[in-house]
Amino acid sequence: MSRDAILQAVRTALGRKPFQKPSAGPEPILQVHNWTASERVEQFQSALVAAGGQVSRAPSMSHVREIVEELVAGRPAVASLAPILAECGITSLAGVQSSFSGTEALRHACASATVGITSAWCLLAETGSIVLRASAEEPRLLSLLPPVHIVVVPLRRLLENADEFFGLLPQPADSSSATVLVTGPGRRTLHVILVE
Amino acid sequence: MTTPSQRMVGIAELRERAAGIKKHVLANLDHYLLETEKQVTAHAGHVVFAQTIDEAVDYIRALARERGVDHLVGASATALADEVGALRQEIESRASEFGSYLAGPAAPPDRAASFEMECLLEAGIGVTGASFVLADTGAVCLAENDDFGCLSSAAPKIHVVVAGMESILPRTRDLAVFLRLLSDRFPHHISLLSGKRRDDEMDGPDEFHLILLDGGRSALLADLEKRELLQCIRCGACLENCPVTPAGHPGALTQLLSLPPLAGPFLAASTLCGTCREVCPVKIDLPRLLVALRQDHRLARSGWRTWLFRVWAFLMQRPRLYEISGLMIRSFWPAAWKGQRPATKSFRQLWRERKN
Repeated sequence: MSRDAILQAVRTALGRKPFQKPSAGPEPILQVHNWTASERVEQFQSALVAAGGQVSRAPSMSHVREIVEELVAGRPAVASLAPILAECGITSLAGVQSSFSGTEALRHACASATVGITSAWCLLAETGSIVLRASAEEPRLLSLLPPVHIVVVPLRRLLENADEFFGLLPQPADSSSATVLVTGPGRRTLHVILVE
Repeated sequence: MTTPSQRMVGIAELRERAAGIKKHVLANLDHYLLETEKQVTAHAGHVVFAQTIDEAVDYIRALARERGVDHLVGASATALADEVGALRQEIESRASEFGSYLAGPAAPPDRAASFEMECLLEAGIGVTGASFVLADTGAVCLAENDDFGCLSSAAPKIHVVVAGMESILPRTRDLAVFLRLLSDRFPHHISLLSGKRRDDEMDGPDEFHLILLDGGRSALLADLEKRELLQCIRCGACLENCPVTPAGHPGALTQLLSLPPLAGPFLAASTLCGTCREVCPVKIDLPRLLVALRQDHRLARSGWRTWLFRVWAFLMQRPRLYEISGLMIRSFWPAAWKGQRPATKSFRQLWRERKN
Protein backbone atom coordinates (compact mmCIF):
# COMPACT_ATOMS: atom_id res chain seq x y z
CA MET A 1 0.00 0.00 0.00
CA SER A 2 1.21 3.50 -0.83
CA ARG A 3 0.62 4.75 2.68
CA ASP A 4 3.12 2.47 4.39
CA ALA A 5 5.61 2.71 1.54
CA ILE A 6 5.56 6.53 1.68
CA LEU A 7 5.82 6.66 5.47
CA GLN A 8 8.70 4.19 5.33
CA ALA A 9 10.46 6.21 2.63
CA VAL A 10 10.08 9.39 4.70
CA ARG A 11 11.40 7.70 7.85
CA THR A 12 14.36 6.26 5.97
CA ALA A 13 15.13 9.66 4.47
CA LEU A 14 15.06 11.27 7.91
CA GLY A 15 16.62 8.40 9.84
CA ARG A 16 13.65 8.26 12.22
CA LYS A 17 12.01 5.24 13.85
CA PRO A 18 8.27 4.50 13.67
CA PHE A 19 6.32 6.61 16.21
CA GLN A 20 9.42 8.48 17.31
CA LYS A 21 8.40 11.69 19.08
CA PRO A 22 9.01 14.92 17.12
CA SER A 23 11.79 17.28 18.11
CA ALA A 24 10.83 20.61 19.68
CA GLY A 25 9.90 23.17 17.04
CA PRO A 26 9.69 26.96 16.99
CA GLU A 27 6.42 28.71 17.92
CA PRO A 28 4.84 31.19 15.48
CA ILE A 29 5.04 34.91 16.22
CA LEU A 30 1.65 36.49 16.92
CA GLN A 31 1.69 40.29 16.61
CA VAL A 32 -0.97 42.71 17.79
CA HIS A 33 -0.81 46.49 17.63
CA ASN A 34 -2.96 47.38 20.66
CA TRP A 35 -5.01 49.87 18.68
CA THR A 36 -7.81 51.84 20.30
CA ALA A 37 -11.38 51.19 19.18
CA SER A 38 -11.44 54.23 16.93
CA GLU A 39 -8.07 53.35 15.36
CA ARG A 40 -9.44 49.91 14.53
CA VAL A 41 -12.53 51.31 12.84
CA GLU A 42 -10.45 53.81 10.90
CA GLN A 43 -7.98 51.14 9.77
CA PHE A 44 -10.73 48.68 8.86
CA GLN A 45 -12.53 51.27 6.77
CA SER A 46 -9.46 52.38 4.87
CA ALA A 47 -8.21 48.82 4.29
CA LEU A 48 -11.56 47.57 3.02
CA VAL A 49 -12.10 50.59 0.78
CA ALA A 50 -8.57 50.17 -0.60
CA ALA A 51 -9.43 46.54 -1.40
CA GLY A 52 -12.53 47.70 -3.29
CA GLY A 53 -15.25 47.13 -0.67
CA GLN A 54 -17.74 49.56 0.81
CA VAL A 55 -18.35 50.37 4.47
CA SER A 56 -21.34 51.96 6.17
CA ARG A 57 -21.69 52.77 9.84
CA ALA A 58 -25.08 52.37 11.44
CA PRO A 59 -25.63 54.22 14.74
CA SER A 60 -28.36 51.77 15.71
CA MET A 61 -30.13 48.57 14.71
CA SER A 62 -33.02 50.41 13.12
CA HIS A 63 -30.66 52.25 10.79
CA VAL A 64 -29.28 48.93 9.56
CA ARG A 65 -32.67 47.95 8.21
CA GLU A 66 -32.88 51.20 6.22
CA ILE A 67 -29.38 50.82 4.79
CA VAL A 68 -29.98 47.21 3.79
CA GLU A 69 -33.36 48.02 2.26
CA GLU A 70 -31.71 50.69 0.14
CA LEU A 71 -28.87 48.39 -0.95
CA VAL A 72 -31.16 45.49 -1.80
CA ALA A 73 -33.40 47.83 -3.81
CA GLY A 74 -36.10 45.25 -4.34
CA ARG A 75 -33.77 42.66 -5.87
CA PRO A 76 -34.17 39.02 -4.80
CA ALA A 77 -32.15 38.44 -1.63
CA VAL A 78 -31.24 35.60 0.70
CA ALA A 79 -30.29 36.14 4.34
CA SER A 80 -28.74 33.94 7.00
CA LEU A 81 -30.33 33.07 10.35
CA ALA A 82 -27.76 35.08 12.31
CA PRO A 83 -29.51 36.60 15.36
CA ILE A 84 -28.33 40.12 14.52
CA LEU A 85 -30.13 40.04 11.15
CA ALA A 86 -33.41 39.09 12.83
CA GLU A 87 -32.88 41.75 15.52
CA CYS A 88 -32.37 44.39 12.84
CA GLY A 89 -35.56 43.23 11.12
CA ILE A 90 -33.77 42.29 7.92
CA THR A 91 -35.22 38.80 7.69
CA SER A 92 -38.71 40.32 7.61
CA LEU A 93 -37.96 42.65 4.67
CA ALA A 94 -40.00 41.99 1.54
CA GLY A 95 -38.19 39.80 -0.98
CA VAL A 96 -35.67 38.50 1.53
CA GLN A 97 -35.69 34.74 1.99
CA SER A 98 -34.05 33.40 5.12
CA SER A 99 -35.45 29.97 5.80
CA PHE A 100 -34.76 27.04 3.55
CA SER A 101 -36.36 23.62 3.64
CA GLY A 102 -33.13 21.79 2.86
CA THR A 103 -29.77 21.92 1.18
CA GLU A 104 -31.21 21.71 -2.33
CA ALA A 105 -33.64 24.55 -1.65
CA LEU A 106 -30.79 26.60 -0.22
CA ARG A 107 -28.58 26.00 -3.26
CA HIS A 108 -31.39 26.91 -5.59
CA ALA A 109 -32.27 30.08 -3.68
CA CYS A 110 -28.63 31.21 -3.51
CA ALA A 111 -28.04 30.53 -7.19
CA SER A 112 -30.99 32.69 -8.22
CA ALA A 113 -30.62 35.50 -5.65
CA THR A 114 -28.82 38.76 -6.43
CA VAL A 115 -28.00 39.69 -2.85
CA GLY A 116 -26.71 37.53 -0.01
CA ILE A 117 -26.94 38.99 3.50
CA THR A 118 -24.93 37.46 6.34
CA SER A 119 -23.22 38.38 9.55
CA ALA A 120 -19.55 37.58 10.20
CA TRP A 121 -17.75 35.87 13.04
CA CYS A 122 -15.40 38.83 13.24
CA LEU A 123 -13.67 41.51 11.17
CA LEU A 124 -9.94 42.10 10.85
CA ALA A 125 -8.97 45.79 10.91
CA GLU A 126 -5.41 45.52 9.59
CA THR A 127 -6.37 43.91 6.30
CA GLY A 128 -10.04 44.90 6.05
CA SER A 129 -11.05 41.23 6.05
CA ILE A 130 -14.29 39.59 7.09
CA VAL A 131 -14.16 36.20 8.77
CA LEU A 132 -17.05 33.88 7.92
CA ARG A 133 -17.62 30.59 9.69
CA ALA A 134 -20.05 27.92 8.52
CA SER A 135 -22.63 27.08 11.18
CA ALA A 136 -26.28 26.13 11.59
CA GLU A 137 -27.14 29.85 11.20
CA GLU A 138 -24.62 30.74 8.50
CA PRO A 139 -24.60 28.57 5.36
CA ARG A 140 -21.55 29.08 3.12
CA LEU A 141 -23.31 29.54 -0.19
CA LEU A 142 -25.02 32.78 0.92
CA SER A 143 -21.74 34.63 0.60
CA LEU A 144 -20.43 32.69 -2.40
CA LEU A 145 -23.17 32.50 -5.01
CA PRO A 146 -25.03 35.87 -5.11
CA PRO A 147 -23.14 38.66 -6.90
CA VAL A 148 -23.74 41.12 -4.05
CA HIS A 149 -22.72 40.36 -0.47
CA ILE A 150 -23.89 42.47 2.46
CA VAL A 151 -22.35 41.82 5.87
CA VAL A 152 -23.87 43.15 9.08
CA VAL A 153 -21.53 43.04 12.07
CA PRO A 154 -21.59 44.65 15.52
CA LEU A 155 -18.57 46.87 16.18
CA ARG A 156 -17.42 44.79 19.15
CA ARG A 157 -16.60 42.01 16.65
CA LEU A 158 -13.82 44.11 15.13
CA LEU A 159 -10.44 42.49 15.83
CA GLU A 160 -7.04 43.88 14.90
CA ASN A 161 -5.70 41.19 12.62
CA ALA A 162 -5.47 37.49 11.84
CA ASP A 163 -2.94 37.09 14.65
CA GLU A 164 -5.50 38.24 17.21
CA PHE A 165 -8.06 35.91 15.62
CA PHE A 166 -5.75 32.90 15.83
CA GLY A 167 -4.95 33.87 19.41
CA LEU A 168 -8.65 33.91 20.32
CA LEU A 169 -9.54 30.80 18.35
CA PRO A 170 -6.40 28.69 17.93
CA GLN A 171 -8.21 25.82 16.18
CA PRO A 172 -11.08 27.32 14.20
CA ALA A 173 -11.42 24.18 12.04
CA ASP A 174 -12.43 22.06 15.04
CA SER A 175 -15.81 23.69 15.56
CA SER A 176 -16.72 24.51 11.96
CA SER A 177 -16.07 22.80 8.65
CA ALA A 178 -15.25 26.11 6.95
CA THR A 179 -13.63 29.29 8.25
CA VAL A 180 -13.02 31.79 5.46
CA LEU A 181 -11.12 35.08 5.61
CA VAL A 182 -12.45 37.23 2.78
CA THR A 183 -10.43 40.31 1.84
CA GLY A 184 -12.02 42.59 -0.71
CA PRO A 185 -14.96 41.98 -3.03
CA GLY A 186 -13.27 39.87 -5.72
CA ARG A 187 -15.78 39.55 -8.53
CA ARG A 188 -18.64 40.42 -6.18
CA THR A 189 -19.84 43.65 -4.62
CA LEU A 190 -19.04 43.67 -0.92
CA HIS A 191 -20.75 45.97 1.54
CA VAL A 192 -20.01 45.86 5.25
CA ILE A 193 -22.33 47.55 7.75
CA LEU A 194 -20.80 48.24 11.15
CA VAL A 195 -23.41 48.44 13.90
CA GLU A 196 -22.53 50.56 16.95
CA MET B 1 1.39 55.62 19.09
CA THR B 2 1.73 52.81 16.59
CA THR B 3 0.87 53.63 13.03
CA PRO B 4 -1.09 50.91 11.25
CA SER B 5 1.70 50.05 8.85
CA GLN B 6 4.30 49.60 11.53
CA ARG B 7 5.46 46.04 12.14
CA MET B 8 6.33 45.04 15.65
CA VAL B 9 8.64 42.38 14.34
CA GLY B 10 10.78 42.95 11.29
CA ILE B 11 10.24 40.96 8.13
CA ALA B 12 13.68 39.38 8.60
CA GLU B 13 12.65 37.86 11.91
CA LEU B 14 9.39 36.57 10.43
CA ARG B 15 11.30 34.89 7.61
CA GLU B 16 13.70 33.36 10.07
CA ARG B 17 10.78 31.93 12.03
CA ALA B 18 8.98 30.70 8.91
CA ALA B 19 12.11 28.92 7.72
CA GLY B 20 12.52 27.43 11.20
CA ILE B 21 8.96 26.10 11.23
CA LYS B 22 9.32 24.58 7.75
CA LYS B 23 12.66 22.96 8.65
CA HIS B 24 11.07 21.52 11.77
CA VAL B 25 8.16 20.03 9.82
CA LEU B 26 10.47 18.47 7.23
CA ALA B 27 12.73 17.00 9.91
CA ASN B 28 9.70 15.34 11.56
CA LEU B 29 7.54 14.80 8.50
CA ASP B 30 6.56 11.21 9.31
CA HIS B 31 5.11 12.39 12.64
CA TYR B 32 3.15 15.23 11.01
CA LEU B 33 1.81 12.96 8.27
CA LEU B 34 0.40 10.62 10.90
CA GLU B 35 -0.93 13.53 12.98
CA THR B 36 -2.68 14.95 9.91
CA GLU B 37 -4.18 11.55 9.13
CA LYS B 38 -5.44 11.23 12.71
CA GLN B 39 -7.04 14.67 12.73
CA VAL B 40 -8.67 14.40 9.31
CA THR B 41 -10.15 11.05 10.29
CA ALA B 42 -11.40 12.59 13.55
CA HIS B 43 -13.36 15.10 11.45
CA ALA B 44 -14.94 12.29 9.40
CA GLY B 45 -12.63 12.81 6.43
CA HIS B 46 -10.56 10.30 4.49
CA VAL B 47 -6.80 10.44 3.98
CA VAL B 48 -5.17 8.79 0.99
CA PHE B 49 -1.44 8.60 0.32
CA ALA B 50 -0.46 8.72 -3.34
CA GLN B 51 3.00 7.97 -4.63
CA THR B 52 2.46 9.75 -7.94
CA ILE B 53 -0.03 12.23 -9.35
CA ASP B 54 -1.36 9.41 -11.56
CA GLU B 55 -2.25 7.48 -8.44
CA ALA B 56 -4.12 10.54 -7.17
CA VAL B 57 -5.97 10.96 -10.46
CA ASP B 58 -6.84 7.24 -10.45
CA TYR B 59 -8.29 7.64 -6.97
CA ILE B 60 -10.45 10.58 -8.08
CA ARG B 61 -11.56 8.64 -11.16
CA ALA B 62 -12.50 5.59 -9.09
CA LEU B 63 -14.34 7.79 -6.57
CA ALA B 64 -16.32 9.43 -9.38
CA ARG B 65 -17.25 6.05 -10.82
CA GLU B 66 -18.25 4.64 -7.44
CA ARG B 67 -20.45 7.63 -6.56
CA GLY B 68 -21.90 7.90 -10.07
CA VAL B 69 -20.49 11.42 -10.60
CA ASP B 70 -20.19 12.73 -14.16
CA HIS B 71 -19.07 16.30 -13.56
CA LEU B 72 -16.14 17.64 -11.67
CA VAL B 73 -15.00 21.16 -10.95
CA GLY B 74 -11.54 21.98 -9.84
CA ALA B 75 -9.17 24.66 -8.80
CA SER B 76 -5.52 24.05 -8.37
CA ALA B 77 -2.97 25.38 -5.99
CA THR B 78 0.47 25.96 -7.33
CA ALA B 79 1.56 24.10 -4.21
CA LEU B 80 1.39 21.15 -6.57
CA ALA B 81 4.25 22.32 -8.77
CA ASP B 82 3.91 20.85 -12.24
CA GLU B 83 1.55 18.12 -11.14
CA VAL B 84 -1.38 20.43 -11.80
CA GLY B 85 -1.34 19.48 -15.48
CA ALA B 86 -2.44 15.89 -14.89
CA LEU B 87 -5.28 16.99 -12.58
CA ARG B 88 -6.43 19.62 -15.03
CA GLN B 89 -6.47 17.10 -17.86
CA GLU B 90 -8.58 14.65 -15.93
CA ILE B 91 -11.09 17.31 -14.93
CA GLU B 92 -11.29 18.95 -18.33
CA SER B 93 -11.75 15.55 -19.97
CA ARG B 94 -15.11 15.51 -18.19
CA ALA B 95 -16.23 18.72 -19.81
CA SER B 96 -15.98 20.51 -16.52
CA GLU B 97 -14.31 23.71 -15.57
CA PHE B 98 -10.97 24.23 -14.03
CA GLY B 99 -9.66 27.45 -12.61
CA SER B 100 -6.18 27.73 -11.28
CA TYR B 101 -4.75 30.04 -8.75
CA LEU B 102 -1.47 31.16 -7.36
CA ALA B 103 -1.39 32.71 -3.94
CA GLY B 104 1.58 34.92 -4.62
CA PRO B 105 2.01 37.92 -6.86
CA ALA B 106 2.77 36.02 -10.07
CA ALA B 107 -0.76 34.84 -10.83
CA PRO B 108 -0.86 33.41 -14.35
CA PRO B 109 -2.84 35.63 -16.73
CA ASP B 110 -4.35 32.75 -18.71
CA ARG B 111 -6.66 31.24 -16.11
CA ALA B 112 -10.34 30.82 -16.69
CA ALA B 113 -12.20 34.10 -16.29
CA SER B 114 -15.11 32.71 -14.41
CA PHE B 115 -16.92 29.64 -13.27
CA GLU B 116 -20.20 28.84 -14.91
CA MET B 117 -22.86 28.66 -12.22
CA GLU B 118 -24.63 25.64 -13.76
CA CYS B 119 -21.37 23.80 -14.07
CA LEU B 120 -20.64 24.42 -10.42
CA LEU B 121 -24.06 23.32 -9.20
CA GLU B 122 -24.01 20.20 -11.39
CA ALA B 123 -20.61 19.04 -10.26
CA GLY B 124 -20.57 16.07 -7.92
CA ILE B 125 -16.92 16.38 -6.98
CA GLY B 126 -14.87 19.50 -6.37
CA VAL B 127 -11.12 19.04 -6.57
CA THR B 128 -8.80 21.62 -5.06
CA GLY B 129 -5.20 21.92 -4.08
CA ALA B 130 -4.11 23.30 -0.73
CA SER B 131 -1.61 25.99 0.14
CA PHE B 132 -1.13 24.49 3.58
CA VAL B 133 -2.28 21.43 5.48
CA LEU B 134 -2.72 22.03 9.20
CA ALA B 135 -1.74 19.02 11.27
CA ASP B 136 -3.43 20.16 14.50
CA THR B 137 -6.97 20.05 13.12
CA GLY B 138 -6.57 18.16 9.86
CA ALA B 139 -7.74 21.27 8.02
CA VAL B 140 -6.50 22.45 4.66
CA CYS B 141 -5.82 26.11 3.98
CA LEU B 142 -6.60 27.44 0.52
CA ALA B 143 -5.08 30.86 -0.06
CA GLU B 144 -6.34 32.12 -3.40
CA ASN B 145 -6.75 35.37 -5.24
CA ASP B 146 -10.18 34.39 -6.55
CA ASP B 147 -12.85 32.13 -5.09
CA PHE B 148 -12.69 29.08 -7.36
CA GLY B 149 -11.24 26.85 -4.68
CA CYS B 150 -13.71 28.01 -2.04
CA LEU B 151 -16.63 27.48 -4.46
CA SER B 152 -15.33 24.07 -5.55
CA SER B 153 -15.20 23.00 -1.91
CA ALA B 154 -18.59 24.44 -0.89
CA ALA B 155 -21.02 23.48 -3.65
CA PRO B 156 -20.27 19.84 -4.68
CA LYS B 157 -21.20 16.91 -2.42
CA ILE B 158 -17.64 15.63 -2.37
CA HIS B 159 -14.51 17.71 -1.77
CA VAL B 160 -11.20 16.18 -2.79
CA VAL B 161 -7.98 17.97 -1.83
CA VAL B 162 -4.68 17.08 -3.44
CA ALA B 163 -1.76 18.38 -1.42
CA GLY B 164 1.96 17.85 -1.57
CA MET B 165 3.01 16.27 1.71
CA GLU B 166 5.57 19.00 2.36
CA SER B 167 2.79 21.59 2.69
CA ILE B 168 1.98 20.55 6.28
CA LEU B 169 2.23 23.13 9.08
CA PRO B 170 2.11 21.95 12.70
CA ARG B 171 -0.52 24.40 14.01
CA THR B 172 -3.27 26.59 12.60
CA ARG B 173 -1.75 29.65 14.24
CA ASP B 174 1.46 29.13 12.24
CA LEU B 175 -0.58 30.77 9.49
CA ALA B 176 -0.15 34.08 11.30
CA VAL B 177 3.47 33.98 10.14
CA PHE B 178 2.98 32.40 6.72
CA LEU B 179 0.02 34.51 5.59
CA ARG B 180 2.08 37.65 6.14
CA LEU B 181 4.86 36.24 3.99
CA LEU B 182 2.78 34.73 1.20
CA SER B 183 2.26 38.06 -0.51
CA ASP B 184 2.24 41.79 0.20
CA ARG B 185 -1.50 41.82 0.63
CA PHE B 186 -3.80 39.15 2.00
CA PRO B 187 -5.03 36.77 -0.71
CA HIS B 188 -8.72 37.38 -1.52
CA HIS B 189 -10.02 34.11 -0.07
CA ILE B 190 -8.24 32.26 2.71
CA SER B 191 -10.30 29.17 3.51
CA LEU B 192 -9.68 26.80 6.40
CA LEU B 193 -11.60 23.65 5.53
CA SER B 194 -11.83 20.54 7.65
CA GLY B 195 -13.66 17.28 7.17
CA LYS B 196 -17.21 16.84 6.02
CA ARG B 197 -19.85 19.36 6.96
CA ARG B 198 -20.93 19.21 10.58
CA ASP B 199 -24.35 17.70 11.29
CA ASP B 200 -26.04 21.04 11.95
CA GLU B 201 -24.51 22.91 9.00
CA MET B 202 -26.81 23.47 6.03
CA ASP B 203 -24.28 23.21 3.21
CA GLY B 204 -20.75 22.08 2.52
CA PRO B 205 -19.44 18.72 1.34
CA ASP B 206 -20.83 15.39 2.59
CA GLU B 207 -17.45 13.79 2.01
CA PHE B 208 -13.91 15.08 2.43
CA HIS B 209 -10.91 13.32 0.92
CA LEU B 210 -7.36 14.49 1.44
CA ILE B 211 -4.82 13.01 -0.96
CA LEU B 212 -1.30 13.47 0.38
CA LEU B 213 1.06 13.31 -2.54
CA ASP B 214 4.63 12.08 -2.47
CA GLY B 215 5.52 12.61 -6.13
CA GLY B 216 9.28 12.58 -5.60
CA ARG B 217 9.17 14.48 -2.32
CA SER B 218 10.45 11.62 -0.16
CA ALA B 219 13.41 11.22 -2.52
CA LEU B 220 14.12 14.95 -2.26
CA LEU B 221 13.88 14.65 1.53
CA ALA B 222 16.62 12.01 1.45
CA ASP B 223 18.85 14.33 -0.58
CA LEU B 224 20.43 16.42 2.19
CA GLU B 225 21.84 18.91 -0.27
CA LYS B 226 18.47 19.68 -1.88
CA ARG B 227 16.03 18.96 0.97
CA GLU B 228 15.78 22.71 1.49
CA LEU B 229 13.71 22.94 -1.70
CA LEU B 230 10.81 21.33 0.15
CA GLN B 231 10.57 24.44 2.35
CA CYS B 232 9.06 26.20 -0.67
CA ILE B 233 5.55 27.58 -0.05
CA ARG B 234 5.00 28.36 -3.75
CA CYS B 235 4.52 32.07 -3.18
CA GLY B 236 6.14 32.94 -6.50
CA ALA B 237 8.30 35.76 -5.12
CA CYS B 238 11.49 34.32 -6.63
CA LEU B 239 9.92 33.95 -10.08
CA GLU B 240 8.46 37.44 -9.89
CA ASN B 241 11.83 38.99 -9.12
CA CYS B 242 14.08 36.81 -11.28
CA PRO B 243 15.72 38.85 -14.06
CA VAL B 244 16.05 35.82 -16.36
CA THR B 245 12.72 34.07 -15.80
CA PRO B 246 10.02 35.81 -17.85
CA ALA B 247 6.56 35.61 -16.27
CA GLY B 248 4.70 32.48 -17.27
CA HIS B 249 7.67 30.97 -19.11
CA PRO B 250 10.13 28.29 -18.11
CA GLY B 251 13.38 29.60 -16.76
CA ALA B 252 16.22 28.58 -14.50
CA LEU B 253 14.04 28.84 -11.39
CA THR B 254 11.03 26.98 -12.77
CA GLN B 255 13.33 24.07 -13.55
CA LEU B 256 14.69 24.13 -10.04
CA LEU B 257 11.22 24.31 -8.47
CA SER B 258 9.90 21.33 -10.43
CA LEU B 259 9.51 18.07 -8.61
CA PRO B 260 11.98 16.49 -9.01
CA PRO B 261 14.20 19.46 -9.97
CA LEU B 262 15.09 19.21 -13.64
CA ALA B 263 18.50 19.73 -15.08
CA GLY B 264 18.00 21.31 -18.46
CA PRO B 265 19.12 24.01 -20.84
CA PHE B 266 17.56 26.88 -18.85
CA LEU B 267 19.59 26.01 -15.81
CA ALA B 268 22.59 27.73 -17.36
CA ALA B 269 20.53 30.89 -17.89
CA SER B 270 20.75 32.04 -14.28
CA THR B 271 23.38 34.64 -13.51
CA LEU B 272 23.29 33.57 -9.86
CA CYS B 273 22.58 37.19 -8.93
CA GLY B 274 20.96 36.07 -5.69
CA THR B 275 17.78 38.14 -5.89
CA CYS B 276 15.68 35.00 -5.40
CA ARG B 277 17.49 34.19 -2.17
CA GLU B 278 16.91 37.69 -0.89
CA VAL B 279 13.16 37.70 -1.54
CA CYS B 280 12.46 34.10 -0.47
CA PRO B 281 10.18 34.20 2.60
CA VAL B 282 11.43 30.84 3.82
CA LYS B 283 15.08 31.62 3.14
CA ILE B 284 15.82 28.95 0.56
CA ASP B 285 19.35 29.33 -0.79
CA LEU B 286 18.28 29.06 -4.42
CA PRO B 287 21.63 30.07 -6.00
CA ARG B 288 23.41 27.33 -4.07
CA LEU B 289 20.81 24.81 -5.27
CA LEU B 290 21.17 26.04 -8.84
CA VAL B 291 24.90 25.42 -8.66
CA ALA B 292 24.32 21.99 -7.11
CA LEU B 293 21.91 21.10 -9.89
CA ARG B 294 24.36 22.35 -12.52
CA GLN B 295 26.96 20.08 -11.00
CA ASP B 296 24.62 17.07 -11.27
CA HIS B 297 23.97 18.06 -14.84
CA ARG B 298 27.69 18.36 -15.59
CA LEU B 299 28.44 14.95 -14.09
CA ALA B 300 25.75 13.40 -16.18
CA ARG B 301 27.30 14.84 -19.32
CA SER B 302 30.55 13.76 -20.98
CA GLY B 303 32.26 14.02 -24.38
CA TRP B 304 34.34 16.62 -26.13
CA ARG B 305 32.96 19.60 -24.18
CA THR B 306 34.06 18.14 -20.85
CA TRP B 307 37.56 17.59 -22.28
CA LEU B 308 37.69 21.05 -23.80
CA PHE B 309 36.92 22.61 -20.42
CA ARG B 310 39.49 20.40 -18.69
CA VAL B 311 42.20 21.58 -21.08
CA TRP B 312 41.00 25.17 -20.58
CA ALA B 313 41.13 24.81 -16.79
CA PHE B 314 44.62 23.29 -16.99
CA LEU B 315 45.89 26.25 -19.04
CA MET B 316 44.12 28.88 -16.95
CA GLN B 317 45.97 27.71 -13.88
CA ARG B 318 49.37 28.11 -15.58
CA PRO B 319 49.82 31.75 -16.74
CA ARG B 320 53.06 31.14 -18.69
CA LEU B 321 51.61 28.19 -20.58
CA TYR B 322 48.44 30.17 -21.17
CA GLU B 323 50.35 33.05 -22.70
CA ILE B 324 52.38 30.77 -24.92
CA SER B 325 49.28 28.94 -26.18
CA GLY B 326 47.67 32.33 -26.93
CA LEU B 327 50.75 33.36 -28.87
CA MET B 328 50.68 30.12 -30.83
CA ILE B 329 46.99 30.43 -31.66
CA ARG B 330 47.57 33.98 -32.96
CA SER B 331 50.59 33.02 -35.06
CA PHE B 332 49.13 29.85 -36.54
CA TRP B 333 45.64 31.22 -37.19
CA PRO B 334 44.69 30.12 -40.75
CA ALA B 335 44.46 33.16 -43.04
CA ALA B 336 41.26 31.73 -44.52
CA TRP B 337 39.38 32.29 -41.19
CA LYS B 338 39.49 36.06 -41.65
CA GLY B 339 36.24 36.91 -39.96
CA GLN B 340 37.11 35.44 -36.57
CA ARG B 341 40.75 36.51 -36.42
CA PRO B 342 41.90 37.02 -32.80
CA ALA B 343 43.24 40.38 -31.69
CA THR B 344 46.87 40.94 -32.63
CA LYS B 345 47.89 41.55 -29.04
CA SER B 346 46.61 39.73 -25.98
CA PHE B 347 45.12 41.59 -23.02
CA ARG B 348 48.14 40.80 -20.92
CA GLN B 349 50.46 42.28 -23.58
CA LEU B 350 48.41 45.47 -23.76
CA TRP B 351 48.36 45.71 -19.99
CA ARG B 352 52.15 45.49 -19.76
CA GLU B 353 52.61 48.11 -22.50
CA ARG B 354 50.24 50.60 -20.84
CA LYS B 355 51.86 50.17 -17.45
CA ASN B 356 55.30 51.13 -18.80
